[in-house]
Amino acid sequence: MSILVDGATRVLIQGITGTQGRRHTEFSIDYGTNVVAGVTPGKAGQDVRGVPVFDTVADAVAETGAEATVLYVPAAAVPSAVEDAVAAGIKLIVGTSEGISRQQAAYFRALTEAKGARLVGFNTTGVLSAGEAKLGGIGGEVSDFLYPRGRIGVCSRSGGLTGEIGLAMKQDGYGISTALAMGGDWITGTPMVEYVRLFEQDPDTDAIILFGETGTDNELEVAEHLVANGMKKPVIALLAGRFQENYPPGISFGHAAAMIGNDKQTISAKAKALTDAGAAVIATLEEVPWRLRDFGVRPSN
Amino acid sequence: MRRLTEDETKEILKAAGLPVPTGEAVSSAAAARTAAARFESGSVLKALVPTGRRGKAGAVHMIDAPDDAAAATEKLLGQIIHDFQVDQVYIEERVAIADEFYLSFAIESYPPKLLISRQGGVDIEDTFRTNPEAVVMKDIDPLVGVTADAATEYWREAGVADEHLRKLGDVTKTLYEVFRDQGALTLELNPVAIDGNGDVQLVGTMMALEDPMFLHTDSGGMVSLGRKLNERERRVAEANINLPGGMMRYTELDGDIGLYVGGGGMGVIEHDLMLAEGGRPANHTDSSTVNADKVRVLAEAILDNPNVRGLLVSWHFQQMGRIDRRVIPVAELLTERNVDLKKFPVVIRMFGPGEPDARKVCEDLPGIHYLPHATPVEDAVRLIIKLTSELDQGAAS
Repeated sequence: MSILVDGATRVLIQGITGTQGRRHTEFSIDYGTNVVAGVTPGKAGQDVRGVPVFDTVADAVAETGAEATVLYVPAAAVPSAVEDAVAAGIKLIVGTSEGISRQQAAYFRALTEAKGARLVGFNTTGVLSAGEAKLGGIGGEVSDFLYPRGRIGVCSRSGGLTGEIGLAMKQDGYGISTALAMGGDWITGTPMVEYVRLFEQDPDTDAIILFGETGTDNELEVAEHLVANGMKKPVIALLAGRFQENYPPGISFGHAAAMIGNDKQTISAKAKALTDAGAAVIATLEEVPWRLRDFGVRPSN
Repeated sequence: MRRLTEDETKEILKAAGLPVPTGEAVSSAAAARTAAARFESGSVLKALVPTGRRGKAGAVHMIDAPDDAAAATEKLLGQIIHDFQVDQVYIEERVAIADEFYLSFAIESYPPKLLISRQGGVDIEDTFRTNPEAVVMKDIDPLVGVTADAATEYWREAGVADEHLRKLGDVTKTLYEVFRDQGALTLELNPVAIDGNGDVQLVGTMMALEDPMFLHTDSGGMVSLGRKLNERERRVAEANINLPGGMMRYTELDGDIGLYVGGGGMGVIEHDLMLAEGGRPANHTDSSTVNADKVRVLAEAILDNPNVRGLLVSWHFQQMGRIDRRVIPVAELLTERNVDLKKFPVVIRMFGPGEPDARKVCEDLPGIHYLPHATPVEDAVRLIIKLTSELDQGAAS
């Protein structure tokens, strides 16, 4: 049915009483997400749309059994928010903030890995399991329009592209099992290859669509995984940024990490590695349903 | 990324209690003469530009007499060294180097890494090529950092004599803390010198800080394509720093179709497709801002480019961000400037929250191509290419 989150997942919102936290909580509840608790220090006893607010993550977990959290806290409060969530035993953390430094991101990744938690992001719009639940702003006011239910998994380095991929599939009757934005930063809590593994293990995902960019080793690690383990489900990789090869390395035109760090991180090199590994590499959204058909993946709607 | 100059880096290291030679930055020959006179045992004078390999570029001079400092400064000021204009020189006491090593920290991907080499004072790339076994590379666990003990072991592994190990270990631990706490991407110490007293001196230092919101105009993070920002690019870069509400960037290229695209991935897909289909972008943009003043600065820059002959306004389908705040400032600008949309085609593919308001404003602009809801992005790119190329045919007939 999905990876990471489903309709039963007990969800906590850290920073629930802020403008963004409150707004996204309401969208999430409307979507059907099982939001069980919020945290804003000093606001225990309040509620947001009936969701009880606690002073600490530990209290929220003890009272409600929350198992996943979304962070809507100010930048300065992010390190504590991650540490508190990990210490309270939360297993899935969705980090929405942009502008998290690489040094901080490395610390968060080390911390969550050491404690057996998974960090999605930072700089992510979130995770959405179609018709079940969503963590983060993903889908916003147009979740049902952009994310029809179906059996295709989407992992994207860009939050905007998760929705565009849903839109591109929809006319042809394909829909989403889970769509997630992994974050466009140099260092993310979870690399792309981990999401590919999760989709491979999900009985309700028939094929995997990736959106990749220039820079970082994420797409190359996916190619290595496919070569080493075989391609268990069709992988279609939409890769953007060929034009950057016309310009000197070290320049970012898009996401901070969408920059050619070395000659293995160009789109040409990534396209070759993924093609050699059996994946279909495409450059436009219109090709998404064509390649699904080529792989024999059947529409679900 | 923001590369610091030597004086900035050494100031930071000194504040952390690390051993750096005494020095100062000056911007005239007379000031260089005065500074050099302070260092009785001689000094080193370097062009103060945020780049390595200055020695090979003739930008480092050994100074024995204050007049030599003045002459060298006279010569260096105004020169271009590795794309940077020399506005200042840095003069510091000359260290009697008994031995020299290499040390650097870098965080490109996960985890951060530390590099040590027995061979200091030469480019690490050269050491890798000629003597790779002289380089010790270690992963750093951010939860542990670099302990003095671990660093001492690394230096031993690199083949450094026992007598220097503990001092180098202690300095390495503190340097890692600076690297981490400054949010640096790289910190390179080359050479790490042992002076005549057997003490460590950090003689060559280079540090680059991360600039995730692109708040520095003159560094590698701000797109410059190996050239200085032009006047329009500079306006956008300055507004990015000075106005609140999200990030924006603008880079001029040599084509004729203006791109007001954004949202990381989507703008890049559109740019790729435009080139593949024979269109030529006049610029690239990336922005996350919904501040109307900021949007206006960006739109003005795109339209002020003398080469631009058409405009594509196309972001990914917005899920949360309001598109009216991005479209309306552009529409207002087109109206104010009385742009003839028959001669300057504008294609808009903007969908999501605020779309009815955005469409309403565009209704007052006859000839604008606001594409129907949920039109595929490929159609938008192909249409602006077609309309712009038809301008040529019109002009030819």
